[in-house]
Amino acid sequence: VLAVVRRADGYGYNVVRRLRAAGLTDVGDASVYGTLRRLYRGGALTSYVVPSDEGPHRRYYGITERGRAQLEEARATWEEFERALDALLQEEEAMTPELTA
Amino acid sequence: MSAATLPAAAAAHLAALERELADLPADERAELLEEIEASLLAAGDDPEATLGTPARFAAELRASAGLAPAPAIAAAPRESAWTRLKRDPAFRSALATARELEPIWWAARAYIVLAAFTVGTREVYAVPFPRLSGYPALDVVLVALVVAVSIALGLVDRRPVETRTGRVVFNAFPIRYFEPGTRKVTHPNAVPHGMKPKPLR
Repeated sequence: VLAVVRRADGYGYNVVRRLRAAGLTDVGDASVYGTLRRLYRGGALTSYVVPSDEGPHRRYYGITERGRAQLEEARATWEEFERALDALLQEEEAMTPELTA
Repeated sequence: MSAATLPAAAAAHLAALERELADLPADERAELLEEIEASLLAAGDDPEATLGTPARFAAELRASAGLAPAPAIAAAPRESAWTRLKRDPAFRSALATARELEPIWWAARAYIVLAAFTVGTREVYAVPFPRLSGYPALDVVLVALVVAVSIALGLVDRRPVETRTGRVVFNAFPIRYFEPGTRKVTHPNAVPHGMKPKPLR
């Protein structure tokens, strides 16, 4: 959610759609609304309301400095996890070339 | 747009969600519901197929928002110690036995009543036939009479609850007779509702 909002501010359902468009097709609407709420309460997001002619007023969320720091921390954790998993899988591939070929 | 302008299915889903989130502060709940309207509009005629049941949606929302789970439905009022005791099988069994032995109490209380007559006298209070009148034959009759009355009152007390008043402890006395609802006072001309009274001759 932080990665999506970092690119451009978005309202709840807009964030849901952008996450799905990015490939996270199974992400639940409720999870996104809840996560936005938690990040906002934690100071990682800021919010503002934009009136809309088409439907309900939209509450947009934008990332804060704290949110950026949180995102960087999450990115570092993810990259570390990814490296570890890559190494593990390459090791597995080297040991059983006939199975993975 | 408000819930009033949402399609019927979406409005019903939103109302159900509002109930699920009833414990949240009003402003926070209103903000959440306003945001969720966009998902409901996108979900079309069958929001439950896309978003799941309101209860599940609310639970997922709470979990991801770090909110406390929905409070349990108001707990049933606490039972009194007496109610719990009445349900206890051992107590029920003891109560049934005591009920069977009740005639012993009826006879005993007859002797207690008779003892009251000998208080302050020099008469010897003996069971089964205390000296009451100075005439042994009359004493036997008196004892038999008081015991019979006591047993009769005990039997009356065993009638179904709707038809009796009073308690075992008091049923040696005619208190029941003076309690409201124990006597039926009917006017001689009274007839069931809706019927014409018969004129007195």
